[in-house]
Order: sequence, then structure tokens, then C-alpha cells
Amino acid sequence: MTFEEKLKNCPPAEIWQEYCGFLDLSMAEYMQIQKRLVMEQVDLMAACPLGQRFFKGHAPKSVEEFRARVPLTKFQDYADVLLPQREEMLPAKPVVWLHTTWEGGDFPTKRAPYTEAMLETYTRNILAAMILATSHGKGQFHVRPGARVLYSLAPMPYATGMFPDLIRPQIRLRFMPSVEEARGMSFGQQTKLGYKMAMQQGMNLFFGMSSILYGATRNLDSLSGGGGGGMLKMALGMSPRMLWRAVSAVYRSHRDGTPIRPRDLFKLDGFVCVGTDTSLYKNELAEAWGIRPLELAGGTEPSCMGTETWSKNGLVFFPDDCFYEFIPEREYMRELEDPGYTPRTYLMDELVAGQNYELVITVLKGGAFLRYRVGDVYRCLRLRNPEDGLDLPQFEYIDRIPTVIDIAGFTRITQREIEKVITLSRLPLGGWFAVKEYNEEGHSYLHLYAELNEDDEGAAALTRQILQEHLSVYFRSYDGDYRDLKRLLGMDPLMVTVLKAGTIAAYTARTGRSVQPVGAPREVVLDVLRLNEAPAGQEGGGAVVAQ
Amino acid sequence: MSLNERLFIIVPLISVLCNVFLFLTALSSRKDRLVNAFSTLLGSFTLWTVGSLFMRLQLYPGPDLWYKVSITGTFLVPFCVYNFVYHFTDSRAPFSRTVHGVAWGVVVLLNLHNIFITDPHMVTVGRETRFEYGISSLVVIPILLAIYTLLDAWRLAWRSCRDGRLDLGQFAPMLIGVGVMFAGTMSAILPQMVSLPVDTFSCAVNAVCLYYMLYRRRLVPLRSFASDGPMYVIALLSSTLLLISGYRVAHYAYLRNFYQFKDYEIIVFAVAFAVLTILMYLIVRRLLTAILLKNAQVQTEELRQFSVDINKTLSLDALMRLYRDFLQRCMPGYTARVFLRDERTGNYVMRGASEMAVACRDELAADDPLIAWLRARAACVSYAEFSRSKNFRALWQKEKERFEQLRVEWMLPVLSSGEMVAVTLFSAEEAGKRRSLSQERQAMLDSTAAVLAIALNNASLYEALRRKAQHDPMTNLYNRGFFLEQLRRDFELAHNAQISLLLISLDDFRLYNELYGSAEGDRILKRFADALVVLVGSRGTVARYSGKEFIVSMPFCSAADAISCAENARDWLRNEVIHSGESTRKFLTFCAGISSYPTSAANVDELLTYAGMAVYSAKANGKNRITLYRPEAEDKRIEANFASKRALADSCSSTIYALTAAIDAKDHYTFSHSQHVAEYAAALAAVYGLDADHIEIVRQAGLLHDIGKIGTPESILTKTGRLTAEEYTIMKQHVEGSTAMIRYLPSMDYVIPSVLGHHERWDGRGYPRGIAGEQIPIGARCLCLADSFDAMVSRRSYKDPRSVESALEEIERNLGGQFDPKLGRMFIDLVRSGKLTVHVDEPLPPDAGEHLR
Repeated sequence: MTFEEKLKNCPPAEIWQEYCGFLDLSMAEYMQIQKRLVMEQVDLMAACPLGQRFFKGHAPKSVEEFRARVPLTKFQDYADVLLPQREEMLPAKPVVWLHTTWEGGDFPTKRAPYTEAMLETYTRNILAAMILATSHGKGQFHVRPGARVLYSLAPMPYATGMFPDLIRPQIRLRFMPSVEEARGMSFGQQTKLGYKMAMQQGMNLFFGMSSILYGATRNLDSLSGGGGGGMLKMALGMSPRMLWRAVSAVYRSHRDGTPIRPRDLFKLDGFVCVGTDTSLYKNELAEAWGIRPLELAGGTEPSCMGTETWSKNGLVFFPDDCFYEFIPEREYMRELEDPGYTPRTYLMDELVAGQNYELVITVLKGGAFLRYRVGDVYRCLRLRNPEDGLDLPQFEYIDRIPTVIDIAGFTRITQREIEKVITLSRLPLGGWFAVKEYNEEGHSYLHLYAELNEDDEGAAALTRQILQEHLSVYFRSYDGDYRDLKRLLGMDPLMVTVLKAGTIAAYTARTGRSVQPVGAPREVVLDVLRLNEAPAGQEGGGAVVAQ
Repeated sequence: MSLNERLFIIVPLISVLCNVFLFLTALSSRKDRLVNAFSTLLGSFTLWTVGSLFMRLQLYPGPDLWYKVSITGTFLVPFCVYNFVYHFTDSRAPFSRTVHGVAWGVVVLLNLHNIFITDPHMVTVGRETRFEYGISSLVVIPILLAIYTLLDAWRLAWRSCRDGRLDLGQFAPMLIGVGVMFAGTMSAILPQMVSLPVDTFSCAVNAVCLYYMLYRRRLVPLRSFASDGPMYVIALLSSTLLLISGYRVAHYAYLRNFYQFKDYEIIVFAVAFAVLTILMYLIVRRLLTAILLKNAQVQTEELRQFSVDINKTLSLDALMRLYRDFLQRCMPGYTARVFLRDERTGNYVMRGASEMAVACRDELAADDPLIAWLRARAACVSYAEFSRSKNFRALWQKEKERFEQLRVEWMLPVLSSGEMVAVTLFSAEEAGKRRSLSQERQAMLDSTAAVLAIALNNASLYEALRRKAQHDPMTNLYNRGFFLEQLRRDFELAHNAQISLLLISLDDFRLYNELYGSAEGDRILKRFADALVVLVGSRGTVARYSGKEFIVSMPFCSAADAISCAENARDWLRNEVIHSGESTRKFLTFCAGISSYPTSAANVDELLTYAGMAVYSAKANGKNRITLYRPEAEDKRIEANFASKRALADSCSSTIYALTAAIDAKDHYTFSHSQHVAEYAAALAAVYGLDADHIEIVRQAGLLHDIGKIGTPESILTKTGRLTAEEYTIMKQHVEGSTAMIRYLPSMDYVIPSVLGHHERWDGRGYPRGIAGEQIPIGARCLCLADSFDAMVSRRSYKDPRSVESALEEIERNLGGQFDPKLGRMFIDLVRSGKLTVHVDEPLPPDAGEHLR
């Protein structure tokens, strides 16, 4: 029975139970499911060459043994199998391979195999998220066949591109533009056309990447076809209902002297957003759209892993998608300082509220990843939520791990990539470090603090502007995802601050600590800047900032 | 009464009947908001039709009241239809509903004051009485309101279809019903139709359509018709109708025939009416029960019979057969698989299926999420419901696929004291859309589960007891008693083919126990028992034969199979003992004896005897051996054994002589008794057909049989009078004394069985063990005859010798009592034929010393 048939023939309580019943699990029941399913995965892995590589000929007999014997893994551990798509090495036959950004540049994509069972779980979890997105309380939801959906997520072969393909066999939804039409378009064209259609016909559901949603919310006019003649042309194609709403919105805007907000035009049943920095944009999005967005957690390796509930105030992880382990912040920070250290992991029922954790997953149902470090950091908001009747921990997505700079969910910049770009650019840079920062509009960007070589003759001729433009060109040329940022969001997420030569070394000499090349803590950055700004003769001249 | 008048009575009466009937039926079904809304709608129809009927009949208190009742019902119908659709579509528009309700309340109140329909009155034209009324221009208000209300109801229905909550098809009966009612009501104003009661007729049609609509949604079951309320109404109204139509005829008939009793007419008619009503009730009940409850009754009867049957049996297999037959009858179209909990593992093992072709090789793990879920649900549930549960997420993919492959649709847990003891999975025999199971059928299955739970509980208790009686508690193998029965069954089964018997006796096990402790001894016995079960597998039955002996029956297996099995067991034991992980290296071996039918044994007794002999041979040849019994080999062995025993006896002869001399010293009269007994018994054994080895055993036993008398006080041995009970008890102890002493003789313990049994009697009244018949070793039986005979023909301190013939007659008299009849007869023949030289003491002359007596 498809989801639509269930909507027609089953009581809402039954549908809720089927898709969202996991929210009623007790912690013990949740862990029981986790442990049972991870042993299924161990069973599958033990029978394939990839698993035998990690098990070393002896399959673990218990979850404890599995955690003790299998090391924490990264994509490098699977690259020789997954990049050439060697299916014979895997625990189950994949039906689709999805891609995602690895590090950019020379290592552009990671690949993840999806089995039939994984897709089944993925579908069920997406539908659960859709139900929850339209819900205002436990068991109360409003999903209807034929709803208009504006879909603004990365297309295939990215994981989010699977959403429409998985949902369509289950329920009739009117995607704007249609899935077939969207396949022939770039992401930008798809988003723009989608907004235009939504303006004309209205929309009921909105799936989007947080950064794009935020951009679209702030530039509603430009996305919907611009002002003046464009608006008139647009009005001609509008349905009577949308025309009425548009006219009312324009009237209220003129009357109150405020800009038109999306909530004036659209009455959404559900609003779903994914991606980095969602928590930064959420309140503003809720205010603009009149409905609080429901955040999803996921990625290419874990698929749709977690969802918020009807309260939209914290993620709950699905019990049957992955087996979750968590590395506390102090552990992964210690590993940063001492790369030989193996951080300890904790299970879902061993967490502490308010702590940040790096996520480690074992993909269930025949997935390829065992104890895999996705590179995402989550904060455990609370261990249970009595108001919503939840006995499960809720999370908030924080960011990538400190060694990765994620800009708007599009690109992942690492130390290796920056080194490569600097090398390619042949700029006479000495020491440098990079951090992720946010501008006044809330957009994230890469802030590169760099020293010029004092003894290089060309250095004196380099201004900040030239440095920045030069590096930006090389970033765009080296990293395709970085290029998309510029193309889709119209932003160049690079800011360069030139430091006096020897500032970083001076900091190290003074504190005895080196500055991490990527993701240095904010207080370290401030200390370095203070050293940089100290009067000449003491520690050097002022910093020069350009964007 | 004209036809029209009759129609105006009969049609509304049928309509009333129909509405009241449905009303009561709805009341007897499950109550929820929708059924209540339907009952309210039927109530308004009933007001309409009852008012119309009673008005036509001009019943008390008069047409005015009944008109108001009828018109109120009529005016309430649009709102009640709206209310019904509102609940049917599960809509959320409380404000709109309230507005409709208030508006129709006001309209009804105004109409009671004849605002819309004016001046209602009855007129009589010719012989026909009609109802006439005027219409105010304000009537347009209720008409528009009715149109608005019905359109709004239609809007709710359309929206629910548009949103995908309901299918248009579900509203088809309502559309037909409302259409008929609307047409009927409108046609009432046509001149051609004014004389026909089409409005009340259409009202009944509408009620039936709406009832059908609810029935399709499974909100009201058809069998509700067969509840008492509707049946009473049918009976009452039918008899009333009969009374109305037949009263006049009956009245005249009564007056014509019973004029003298005309004062009692009312009483007679009242009684007749009551009887008629009762008869109608009985007929209606029989009819409706036959139509609607037949299946339910059949099910109930099936369940009752099943309950009776399974309570008669304690066998699990029989129980499963009964349950299978029951399911075949009651769940056609489904294949049922029955899983019983294995107490040892906690898993649920498939024990039967309603289809013979289904193999019983499936199992549900104890930690299967389905098990926990079913335990919590404790009732018949659908697989679809399980697939919606949170437990479903914990299923492994292959578990899901298995359930899908089996096409499991329904599941029935069987709980006893909160524990799930069994579960039945019902699979659709044909692929396709899942079928629903009626609530009645589910309830029946739940009742079946309850009955089955008790029966399973009893059967498992019985099984536990039976198991306890058949098994050795330490090794959990079958015990000796059960094994002997099983061996006979195996022999019966395989007597046209072959069967082998393997007897394993651990070597020096007492020593092993003393060296490593009895706990280690018990452990190795258990381990060895488990290993043996695995090694034998399905080829045979393993049992613990005695403390250190195991026995295996292997039907249809050759001696070579048994040897191979024994060799594997020997390898296993060697590995187990060597790799016990302890610093001290242990040592334990066994001797195995194998006998085989038909090559070396002819029956079960021979199989057992020869296997024992083979073990004996293995022990005698140095232990740690596997020996196959072969008759020819046995001869050689016998010869060798005979020689060795004879050599042994010779080497011990001085000891034996010393011991017998010691007895002689104590009791002069027993001089040479042991020698004589040895000769007689050996001769008898030879006649009986024992081999040389056994004859030698008997002879040596004869020599040693009384050496225990060394410990008997001389005063008792030489007492001339009758022994007291206490003295007799002491005297009897010489048997144990003999065996105790023989144990100290090197390697002569083989004579113990014969010595120990020489005072046993064929009838079981002997001592020390009181065994009887062939349980007494053959050597002992020979000794018994020889001993008694020599005692009779010898002089004793308390008697003179008897003649040989007298002694033989005494023996003859005691055949079957004290003596083995067959052996006794042989002995008598042996003596009488003169083949046995008898040593007879001559009687003393009468003047011989009295002290010798």
C-alpha cells in the first residue's frame, strides 16, 4: 500500500504510528533496536571482503566486541572500494550510488552505495519527516495528495536529489518544476523556476537548503522575476488565489511601509530545511514564512538520519538508519593535538546534555560504512523532552569538525586544499591559518589570515585586494563546489587578512602553542590579531582586511 | 377501506417498521459519534413516518399532534443528513455545524406555529379521508435552508474525496438514498402522486441505503439484526399488523361461534395477541438466526468441539494434530504455521502446519521483535499492524523478507501466565490483496488461543513428567527402562533389515572418580553423553545403561557403522581428556561391545547379552578396545578364557582349599560339600549347554559358594534344632560374606554373580535380593539345585541323609517354586540316568551317638 493509499484508507493514528511511532520509544527500546540492527550489519559485513578487512577474519559476536575491535574509519579507508564502485566487495548489492563533496580539488567526490533496504528506510524516514513538518502536535498532521512542492535541494547524484524519486511512488505531489523538467536544468535555474511557479500557483510544502532558503527569503523580488514589468507579467500567469494574495500583500506592504514577506504570499503546510548553519537562520525563516522550518539531519553516507518533531526544536535520530556513536568534544580536540590518540566513543544512552559530539555512524541495512566519522558535530540539547513526551535525546547540528570549513553546505575546505591553492597561486605567502566566520548578513565565509614573505621582492606590490582576487580565482578553478557558491548564491566566500610577517611564529613563541591551520579557536585568532596590531617595535603593524 | 387508504396505512407502517428496526439495530452495535449521528437521522425518519402513519389512523390524541410529530421529523431530516455526513467524513467545522443546527431549530419551532405550512386539517371526500394543508410564501425559507444544508453536506463529502480521505464510491449509497428521498418528497406535490404515500416510502429506502453505507464501512455488522431489540419490534409490529388486518374477520367469527362467551372476547383476543406475538418472535428469531448467525453458531460449535477434544489428550503431537484439523476447517484459504516455544532455548520452533506440504523447519528467535510485540498485544492481530509498529523497525531485512515470502497476514499468540507459549502465523494461500478477518473470526481465534493455552500447559507438564520418567537426570539421556522399550521398537522396525547394538563401558571409572573427584566424573559423563548424542545423530537412540555404561541402538545400521561410531566416540574421549586444559594429564578410556542382528544375534535378548559379552571380552583383553561379537571368535575366546580360569583356579587352589578346610573345621558335616556342589553344578551347566568357560565359572562358584560361613558362629552352624529367626538372619548373611571374601581373591570376581544368587528362588522368595526367574544368573540356578541336592543327601547335625530318590522327588515338588523347572528337570534326568556320580552319606545305625544328630 502506498502512502497515499494509506492516507485514504487508514485512520491518521495508524499512519502516525507507522511513520512517527519511533518517537514513542523508550531509551531502552531505542537501544535495543540499534544493537539488534548493528548486529545484522556485522553479520552482512562478515560475509564480504570489505567487512573482513575490518574484522580481520573474526566477526564480532557482540556490540561491545564490535566497538572494541573495529577502528574508527574515514572515507580514505573505503576509497579504493567505493570510488571505483567495486560492488563485489560490498555486503549487499547497491541499487544506486550517490555522490557528495569530499575535500574538493583533487578529491572532489565521495561515493556511497545504497541498497534496496536502505532506500526503503530512507523513504520511510522522509515520509515521517514530511508528516512531522506538517504537524502541530502529536498525531496531528496535514499531508494531502496533490500538494504543490517547491523543491530546492541539491539534485542527483547528491543524497537530497533522491527525495523526489523516493516520494513520488508513494504520493502524488506536484513538484515545481516537475522532476523530469528539473533534471535538464542547473540547480540555479531549477530554484528560480520553482519560485516563479510557486508565485503563480502557490505552494504547500517547501524543501530547501537553509542557505538557499535564507538567500531566497531576503531576495524574494529577484527570485520571483524582479519588480515592475516582471511583476505584471507574473501577475498575468497567477491563479486567482495567488493573485488575491499578491494584491493583498502589496497593499499591506504599501500601507505599513514594510517589504513583502513570503508569509504574505504563501500558506505553507510544511517547511523543511537541511544543511549547515540551519540553526542560525531558523528564527528568521520562521518569522518570514510564518511557519517554523523543520530541520533534517543527514548526508550522503547516512541518508536521512534525523528529524525534528512537531515542536521543531531539536533533532531526533531515526533508530533504524544508522548505529550512532558519539565522540565528545574534548576527545576529538585531544586527537587534534595528538593525532596518534584514539578518541573514545559513547552511545546514545550515554550522552550528556549540552555537550558537543562528533558523530560516528555505522550505516545499517547493508551500507558500506563501519564506525565512520562523518565529520559532523552535533550538540545534545536535552536527554528527554517531557513536554513532547519524548524519552530520546534531541540534537542540534553545529557544524563540520574543526578541520573542515563548510560554506553554506556546498563545499568542504580543508588544510590540504588551501595549501594546494596557495601553491598553485605561487603567491609569496609565509605562515597562514583559516577559520570559518559569518558576515553581518549571516552568511558564512572562509577567512584566511596570511603572512607575506618579508624577503620576497614581489610581496610589497601585493595588496589585500589582489591577494584575495588571486586566491579566489584559484579556489574557483580548483574546487568545483566553491565555484557553485559564487554561481548560486552570488557570493565569494573568501576574506583575506594580511598579517605582519612573523606574527604566527611570535604567537607560538609567546604561548608555546602552535596555531591550527584550519579551525583555530576564536580566542587564538583574537590573540594573534592583538599581536599583529601591537605598535611597531613591539610586535608589528596593523592588520589589513579586505573582502 | 379504499386501496389508497390501505396504502396510506401499510406503506408508512412498513416504513416505520423499517426505521425502528434499523434504529434498534444501530443501537445494539458499537457506539461512536458516527453511529450516534446515524441513530439521530433514523430518529428523525421515525418521527416523520410514525407521525404520518398515526395521523392517517387518526389515533389518540388526534391528527394535530401526529401532524406536528411528522412535520418536525421531516424538517429535522436535512440537518440530520448534514450531521451524519459531517461525522462520516470526519470533518472539522464546528461553527458551520452549529449554525445549521440553530437555523433548523428555529425553523422547527416556527413551523410548530404553522408559519410555513398553514391550516393542516383532515377532509373526507366521499369515502376517502385526506390530509390537506396550505402553504405560506415563507415556506421558501426552509426550502432554501434545506438546499443550503444538503449542499454543504455535499461540500464536506466532496472535500474529503478531494483530500484523499475518502473515495467517492463510499458515498454512492447515500447519493442513491437521498436522491430517492428527494424525488419522493417532491413528487408528493404532484397531483398524480398526491394520493400515494411516496414520501414515507422514500424515507424507508433512504434509511436502508444509509445503513448499507455504514455496513460497508464496517461500523454496523449485519448480525446486529439478530439481536433481541429488533426481533421484538418485528414480532410486535407483525402481530399488530395481523391483528389490524384480521380483527374484523376474527371478531365476526368469534361472535358467530362463541356468542355465549362474547363478554370474554377482549380477554380471549388479548391472550391470542400475546400468543401470536410470542409465536412471531420465535419464528423471526429462528429465521434471522438461520440467515445471519449460522456461521457464528457453526464456529461456536467447532470451538466447543475443539475444546472438548484437546482436553482429552495430553500428547503434544495429538494436540497439534487436533489444532491443525481445527484450523483447516475454520480458516480456509489460510496456511497456518504453529510455533511452540522451546523451553531450553526460548526460541519458537515450528511444530506443525495446516498444509501437509509445508515443511516444519522454521524457527522464530526468542529475541525476534515480533515475539515481544505479540506478547504485549496478546490477541489475534494482523501483520499489517505489526508492520506499522515501532518493533518492526528492529527486524532484520532477511526476517522481513521471510515474513513477506510466507505472506503472513494474521498472527495468533497463545499466552499462558503472561508467557507466550506458542504462536500461529496465518499465511494467505494465494498472493494478492490482503484479506480482512471479521471481528467475530478474530474473537473466535482468541478463544481458541485461550483453550489451546490451557491444553498446551497441561501437555507440557505431562511431557515434563514423561521426560523425567524416561531420562537419566544427570546426562539427560534416555534411561535403561525406556531404552529397552525403544530397542524392542527398533527391532520390530528393523527386523527385516539389520540392527546393531553398541554398549560402551568406561574403563576404571571408579578410579577416575577417586583420582579427579566425583564432580569431574560427573562432568565427563555429561560431556561424553552429549558427544555421543551428536555422533549418533539421527541414526539411533542413546541411553545411559548403568553408572558408567552407555548403550546405543542403531536400527538399519550395520556392525561397521556401530564400530565407526564407537571409534569416533573413542577419538572424542581421547581429545576431551587430553585437552581438558589442566596441568595433570588425565586418562580415561572405554570398552565397546557391538552385537548385530541378524549376523550374530537372533533377538533383542541376544543382542543385549552378546554386546555385554563383547564388552566383557574387551575388558578381559586389556581394556580400551572395541569388540564386535562373533560366534566363532567367541568359541576361541571361551577356550582361552576357560584355560585362563582353570589356571587361575589352580593357582588359587591352595587358598580355596584352606578356606573350605576352615569351614570344615567349624562344621564337620559340610565336609566335601563344596566339592560336591562344584561337581554337580558343573555337570548340570554342561548339560544345560553352557560353554567351557561358563562351566568353569560355575565349578569355581560351587567351590566358593559357602566360604562366607567362616564368619558364621559355630553354634549356629552346628545347631541341631530349628534355627531361631535371629539365627536364620545371621545364617543368611553368609552369602554376602562369601562375595565379600571372593573380592579379595585375585581376579576371581566373575564367580560373584553365581555365588550371590545361589539362595535365590525361582519364585522370588529367596535371598539376599529376592530376584526371580531368569533374573537369577544361570550359574546361581545351577548352584541352587546342586547345593540343595547335596544338602538333602548329606548328613547334617540336625538331620540324617535322605535317599537320592527322595531328594529328587523333593526337587520335583519344588520345580517352579524354589527351582528353575527346566534346569531342575535336567538335573533329575541327569541323576536318574546315572550320568552324575552322587556322593551319598549312609544313614547312621540306630545306636550311633545321639550327639551326632
